Amino acid sequence: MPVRPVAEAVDHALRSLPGGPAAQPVRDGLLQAREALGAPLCVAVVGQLSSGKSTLVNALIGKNLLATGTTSVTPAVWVLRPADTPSVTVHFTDGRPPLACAPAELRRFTARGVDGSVKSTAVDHVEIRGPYPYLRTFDVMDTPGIGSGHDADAARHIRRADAVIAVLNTAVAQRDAELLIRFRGRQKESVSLTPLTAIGVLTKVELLWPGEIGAECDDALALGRDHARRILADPVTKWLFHDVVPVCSKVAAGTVALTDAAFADLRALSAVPESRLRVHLDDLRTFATQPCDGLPLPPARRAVLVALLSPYGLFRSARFIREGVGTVEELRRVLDEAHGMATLRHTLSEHFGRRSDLIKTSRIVDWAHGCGHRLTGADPRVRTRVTDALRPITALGEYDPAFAELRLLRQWYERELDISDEDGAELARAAGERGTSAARRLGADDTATLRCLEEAALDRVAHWRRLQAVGGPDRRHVALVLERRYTRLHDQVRRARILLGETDG
Amino acid sequence: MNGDREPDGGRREAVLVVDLGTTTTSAMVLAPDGSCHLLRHENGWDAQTWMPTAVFLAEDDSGSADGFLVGWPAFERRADDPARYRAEFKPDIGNDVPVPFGPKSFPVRVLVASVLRHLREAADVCKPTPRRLLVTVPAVPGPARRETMIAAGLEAGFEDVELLAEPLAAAHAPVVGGPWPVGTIVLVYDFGGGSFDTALVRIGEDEHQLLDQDGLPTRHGGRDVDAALRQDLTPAADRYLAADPARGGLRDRLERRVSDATTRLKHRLSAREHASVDITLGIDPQRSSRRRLREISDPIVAGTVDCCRALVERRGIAPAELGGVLLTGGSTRLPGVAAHLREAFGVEPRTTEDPVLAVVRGAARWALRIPAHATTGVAPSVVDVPLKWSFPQEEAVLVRWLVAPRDAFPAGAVLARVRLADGSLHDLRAPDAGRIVRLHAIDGERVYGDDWLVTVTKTVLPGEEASYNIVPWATRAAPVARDRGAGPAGSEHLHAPREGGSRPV
Repeated sequence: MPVRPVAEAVDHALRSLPGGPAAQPVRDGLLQAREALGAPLCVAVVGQLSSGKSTLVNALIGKNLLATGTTSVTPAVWVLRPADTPSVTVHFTDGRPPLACAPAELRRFTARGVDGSVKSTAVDHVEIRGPYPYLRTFDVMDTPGIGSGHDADAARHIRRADAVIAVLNTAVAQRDAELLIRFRGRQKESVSLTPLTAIGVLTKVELLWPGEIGAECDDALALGRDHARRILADPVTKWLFHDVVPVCSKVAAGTVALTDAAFADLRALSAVPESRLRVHLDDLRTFATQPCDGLPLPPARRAVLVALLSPYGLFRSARFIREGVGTVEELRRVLDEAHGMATLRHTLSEHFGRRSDLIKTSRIVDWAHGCGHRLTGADPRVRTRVTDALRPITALGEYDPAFAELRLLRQWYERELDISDEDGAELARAAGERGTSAARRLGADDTATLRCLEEAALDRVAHWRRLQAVGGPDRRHVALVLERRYTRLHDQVRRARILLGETDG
Repeated sequence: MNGDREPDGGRREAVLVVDLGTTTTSAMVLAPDGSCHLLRHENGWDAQTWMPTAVFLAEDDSGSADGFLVGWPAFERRADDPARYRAEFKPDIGNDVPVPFGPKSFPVRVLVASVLRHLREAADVCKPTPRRLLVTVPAVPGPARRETMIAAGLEAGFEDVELLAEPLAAAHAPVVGGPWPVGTIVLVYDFGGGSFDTALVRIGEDEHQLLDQDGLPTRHGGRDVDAALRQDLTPAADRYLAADPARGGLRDRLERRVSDATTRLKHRLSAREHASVDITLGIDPQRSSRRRLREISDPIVAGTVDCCRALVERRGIAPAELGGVLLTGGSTRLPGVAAHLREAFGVEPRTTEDPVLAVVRGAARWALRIPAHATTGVAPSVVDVPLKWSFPQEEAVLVRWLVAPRDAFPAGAVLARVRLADGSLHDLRAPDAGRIVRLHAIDGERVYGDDWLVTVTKTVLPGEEASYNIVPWATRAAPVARDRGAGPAGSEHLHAPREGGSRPV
């Protein structure tokens, strides 16, 4: 369910509410709902210490904030938010008001007993605001590493997040996944690491380049996708993540720090034929420390580039420049696609953003339904006007199958639903887990004609209608919900065809 | 009550009373003489007191205006083309997404109108044919659902459509063991085929009061018990199919047979300790026990009882205050229902003669009091007087005026009909004979108790004129100065009406 009609319904209700103190609690509730709807998605990053978490956070926000080392040595929870002016605020758990402070002071609050000045439980989280280029649609919450002794704190904060990024180090992805499963088991009461909200991110994928002898790799991200598919195919980890996205996190973080000087040096290196550059990068020690025939730049500057972008990032950058990229901004743009961060950010904003909107909407609709009880005793005219004002909100959830689908998906991911894998996969697909277009929900090709989509929707309506009368209890329930979903899809496609003149209805 | 005459000279209206359930529908006709007639529905070999809530789009050969077969004829044709058959559409009443039937789509309102039209035609054997419809709805059906139900009733050809909350209707049903004492709080336990509803009702002298309600719209109906019991019969059917590859094409038909056999087995086990059922030739009769049925239904029944317990606790009703539990709906025959409720509330649940018909029978008894659902207006004794009425509820919507402006009416005539907040209709009667001067509210307008809704001229009887000092009355307001004779020459001298006598005409 898109957030716009929900926001419009809330705005309409605010405009239509009667004045006076009787309706004030409803007005306050609506204002809170409006604020919640406008709040950005909160993405928590979890992973083992040294799994590449900080590098990934830097890449996510588009700034090397965590390279200072302040956060890597303190096990606090950091919430990174966009703002024009940088600021740091410490939030406490003991009721103290938030405290603005200089970055240098942070350690005092976050060392958790290291200097003995502040009890470890006093700090809830540290909020850091700044002009982070990529933080437009979501906030990032960096949690203490799993196994660092602060798992309970991490779990408490993960519960508040709309989406969870689980960092999987490419070299030890399976081990990391198992660690997350154990973590989920220990924190079961507070953390729900399921495909509903969690995505696995395979970091340090650039290390897969240049491949093995006889099996050279040209595109590390493509190789990363193969690894991701294997992780997702695992019978255990498939219940953990919505998807596993590979990213060249080192390249991504380096891209953020690219300067004009670095670009000029990359341009010089791009003059070297690609096959020769590959050979040189294969012998990294010589490349970064020794003068080499035919290689431009002093070794120290080559070393800087390798440290910044990794050998794979350097290799790809040189190729892009060779293919015509002429400015540092252009290079950042193409690298953003090449290192996988663009895909990850898109998935977070689109898929988990939509999911978060649905959860928020569900809360608002429930609240609006309960408003009648709160006005008991008020003037009947006030009650009626409040009810009428809230009607567009209460009507939102009445027939939309999205809420029922969400509940079913949660049960399916928690393995509480007795249906086949095939039915579960269809439920996930119809619920929009692989995209919310009619084609994606129907499992059709994106290029399928409207006529094909209409026929496909009709077929699924008939299929699930039949199963209502012949399936087991859980399958019957899924059938009732999916028939409603496919009926809705059929109507949408049919109306589109009428609009386009393909049929006269 | 027989022979009651309405004050405007008309007799009591004939009313069609309908309980449109998720899986079954039943109807009664309340004749003008107060007698009730339960409609029977032919299923090919028997006349049932209920019919499936189902439609089948037959188009050419249905004999109906809209092409739909309804009830048993629809149920019998469901195998012909499952895509043209639809049951369990009650939860979608109010949903504006049309339901596909093969190549065509219809709004749910049309399906409901078809069912109601079918019942109106079935009621044609009773003369006069009812033009007023009373249809029961869930306690909190939501505005869209309520409006759709009324629209469907009008579309089916009824002149007036009235809604009654199902638990209130059930509470009016004749109960085995005699009526509830006035003031008793009764828990209505409505366990139907598709859903479960519960409500707390305070028994009144004539009308009962709905205190609160709750429900489980999914996973807690008789069909869900069927789905679980079907799992026991499916292996035999699967073995039959697997024994001969040529039987693969029989799967759909066999699945339906298994479904029908399951329902029959459930009904048999509701009355016996052991029962068997035939699926088809070639499969041995399937046996099961009441104990097994209870094993299957217990979790579902336990869920419904938890829902009741939560309702009673939420309402703050102590166990001693709960005067009784009333069982309605066919699924209350399941083993264990009474025992669970007895254990939860410490009272022996009571039932009606036929729990499937409790709602429609109760609604018909409620309809006997329809002539009393009217209010006589109050007015001061002057010639031109405004009229106002009080309603049983604080607000209402004016459905229509029954007397046009300038028309005369006798004392007690119904001037207008309003719809109360709960969907029931309420008539507004004239206190005296008169003539309409002006209407102060329009059709569809929301009105409140004690609003002045109309101005009427009282009929002046011969000889009565003498008691009034009738003077010409200026049609335009005049400034006070003119009243003092300061106006231009030839201007009319204005008189104020004399205290206690002169009245404008």
